[in-house]
Amino acid sequence: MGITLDRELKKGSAELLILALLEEKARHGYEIGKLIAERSEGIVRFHVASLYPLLYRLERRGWVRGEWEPTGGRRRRFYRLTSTGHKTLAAQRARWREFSSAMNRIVEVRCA
Amino acid sequence: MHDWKEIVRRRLTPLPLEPGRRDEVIEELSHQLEDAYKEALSAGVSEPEALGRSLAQFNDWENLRKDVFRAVKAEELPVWHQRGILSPKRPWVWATLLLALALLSLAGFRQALTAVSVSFKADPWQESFFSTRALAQMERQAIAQADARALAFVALHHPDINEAARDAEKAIALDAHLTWISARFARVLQGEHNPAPWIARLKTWDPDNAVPYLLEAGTFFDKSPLVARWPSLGIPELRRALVAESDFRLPMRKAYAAPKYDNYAAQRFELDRAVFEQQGWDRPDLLMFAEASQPYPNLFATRIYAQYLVEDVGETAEKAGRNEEAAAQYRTVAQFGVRMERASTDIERLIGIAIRKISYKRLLPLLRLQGRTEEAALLECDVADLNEGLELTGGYRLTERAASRAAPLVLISGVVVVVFAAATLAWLGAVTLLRWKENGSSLLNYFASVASVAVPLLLLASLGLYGAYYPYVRHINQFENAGQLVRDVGPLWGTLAGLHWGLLHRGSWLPMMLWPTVWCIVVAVIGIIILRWVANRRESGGLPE
Repeated sequence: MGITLDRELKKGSAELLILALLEEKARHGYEIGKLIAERSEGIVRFHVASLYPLLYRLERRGWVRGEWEPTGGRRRRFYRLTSTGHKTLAAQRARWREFSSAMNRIVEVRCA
Repeated sequence: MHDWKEIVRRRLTPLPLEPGRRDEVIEELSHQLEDAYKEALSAGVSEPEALGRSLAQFNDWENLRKDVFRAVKAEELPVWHQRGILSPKRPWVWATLLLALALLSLAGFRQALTAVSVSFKADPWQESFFSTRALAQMERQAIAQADARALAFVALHHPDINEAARDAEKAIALDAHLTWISARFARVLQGEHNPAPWIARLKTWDPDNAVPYLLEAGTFFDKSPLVARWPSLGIPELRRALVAESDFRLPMRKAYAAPKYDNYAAQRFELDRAVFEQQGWDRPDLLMFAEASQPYPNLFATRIYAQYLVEDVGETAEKAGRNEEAAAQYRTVAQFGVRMERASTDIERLIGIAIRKISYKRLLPLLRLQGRTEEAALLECDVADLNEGLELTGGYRLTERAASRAAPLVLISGVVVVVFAAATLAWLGAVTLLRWKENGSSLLNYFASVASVAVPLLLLASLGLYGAYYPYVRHINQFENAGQLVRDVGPLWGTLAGLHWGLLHRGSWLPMMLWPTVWCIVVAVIGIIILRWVANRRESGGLPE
């Protein structure tokens, strides 16, 4: 049970993190990795070797779309959410809120 | 300036994606490296360290290659493009396979594999251990080449007694020295077989031997209705009733008076071994089971007659004060025991010892009574030697204990070898197909990726099997006689054969549950492989660190 939860949590949360970052605007892989580390103040760090395969998977599923765009004298591959990606993000975000509030109810109960 | 694309391309090749998509992946990953490198430089890090930090982002390129391919194509990287330690591209995988196959060139390893098959044979102690087809072929060749020894071999081992008898006649006609093979037909066997002419032939050919007479008395014993009644009669009554019959008493008398005891085990062993060598069968197991099927004279009847001579004739003479006559009877029995003890098989040796003990039990007090103390002292030494002889069976028990530990190990590792050999064969078939048709089947590719572990496991299991069996590795030339063969490897092969009977034929749950269990395991393994394959297709993300 513990392992399954952990695996599902990791899997779902990794997707959620990327989808959430792409909601604001289109970003390239390097930027996504940096942003995750920066916004979590170094607590969550994404292994680069896992980041790109995950981006390719999301792209294959049709949740994100990658496009080459010129920037700084060279082209970069930017990823942006598709309409399916938006719907998926909304659903995953709702599940995450449910999950985190449930966790909080359990974890914070003695402090209340 | 570093050529980042070339760095990535070199490490990520081969990546069997469409060329455009592959170039995109390489370009995108090279940007990741370049950005990390520049960032490190701008933070004041030295150039070599910046390069190191940049490259360290992808410390396992082989995994990255697999992950990228799986993410883009939703299937495993083709097995012939994998570069893992178990990839078919690795020479050592094929070297491992060759090494496992090379073990087959060792006679000891082949013997060990045979050991596994023995446990699954219905009854290895039966004559039918030799296939009738092989024997028929040997018979044809032997007749064509007038090979008396090969014909004698067929006669000794053919399960059909009539066919065997015909071959025996031909063999003896070609070489009269082989008349001893008549002993096989000199017992009451199933069907209409008549042992009398064979016994008569043996008696004429070998008149000084006790065995033909014992076989004659044994024939009477086997047919006698008295024998069926012996539990109610008791042994003393049975022996008195038997010796009252001249068909039993006369041949027994001749047997006990005969100057030698030879059950032809040595001749049979030499003949069997010579034919084994001629046929290229280095199979001590087969030789042992062949020897184990040798018919003995009726040892129960032989012992009963010894008791008759000692406890009835001798004791009566003693009671009547005819001590010399009693002593002569006891000595006759003792001398017969000595002759029998020289036989090469353990069972006859033990019966010989038992017969001598029956005699000495009466002879020793009689000699003391007669004041023949020196003779009595010598006899006491003999009795001590007899006990020592019996203690040899203690050593045999030690060998049996060692064999009882080795046999399950041999059986289990043998079964594991067979399982991994089957898996390796399937893997070999899969990688061959995938070599021919790279994108033939993603399920096959997945199987080939997973089953590659079978190759090193096959080698390990084979070494385990060889190690477990190694103390019992022998060439058939290493045995001096059938007795040594039985003593050296008999306990192991006997235990292995017994494992079969113990596991499958003693009313345990195994007869009903073994094959369903094996079937369930096979289905479960296939199910797990398919489920894992499906799970892989569903893809998963990761959040390490």
